[in-house]
Amino acid sequence: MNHPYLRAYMAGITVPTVFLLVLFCLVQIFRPAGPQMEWALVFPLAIVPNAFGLWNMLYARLHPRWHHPIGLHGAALPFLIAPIIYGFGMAHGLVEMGDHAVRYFGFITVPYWYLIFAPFIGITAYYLIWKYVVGFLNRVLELPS
Amino acid sequence: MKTGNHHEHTEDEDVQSALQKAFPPVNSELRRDLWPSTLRRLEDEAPAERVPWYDWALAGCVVLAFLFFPKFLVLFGYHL
Repeated sequence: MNHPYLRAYMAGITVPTVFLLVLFCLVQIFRPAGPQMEWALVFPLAIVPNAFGLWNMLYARLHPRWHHPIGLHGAALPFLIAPIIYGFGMAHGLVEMGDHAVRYFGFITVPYWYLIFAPFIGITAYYLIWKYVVGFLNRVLELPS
Repeated sequence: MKTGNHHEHTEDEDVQSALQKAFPPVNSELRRDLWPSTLRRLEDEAPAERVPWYDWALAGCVVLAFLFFPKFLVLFGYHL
């Protein structure tokens, strides 16, 4: 099969496209917070699938030389995505820093101690998603995994 | 009769030699080694790789974190 980077991009965008669509539907059903939250989700919906696709293209490019595990490759992605989306949220007033908690969308408060553990959970989830789901899709499309 | 048969036989030989000149001998050797592709197919049919214990442990930690502290879902859903 030809066009390995196109296949890598397609394999990469599958997981976040489906996940974010489900998340968006759940938000609409359980938290009808008005247009602000819908608008806030547009940026992750645009950024994250493309980041997955491009990150998988990079993996397909680097793997013949490095032979690094796909799980660890995926676990590095949150270091790139999370600051970009956090900066976007801060710049547009979607994320506010309070005295004892971070406030999301004006009504969800998350205590600061969550932020200590959140990176570990995010990295672990990404490691598992990339190792088992993106890796499976890569094997289906005859890409390194 | 004998002369006719001999004449036909000679014609056949002429046609055969003309064909042999026109078409080069077929290379009956394989152009590539088929064993690697067979081996690859056998490996594809091998049973799925077992999930190591530490991956189960990590998945359990993530699920428990989301269950007991649902606000992690907000962070995960929005930031990642």
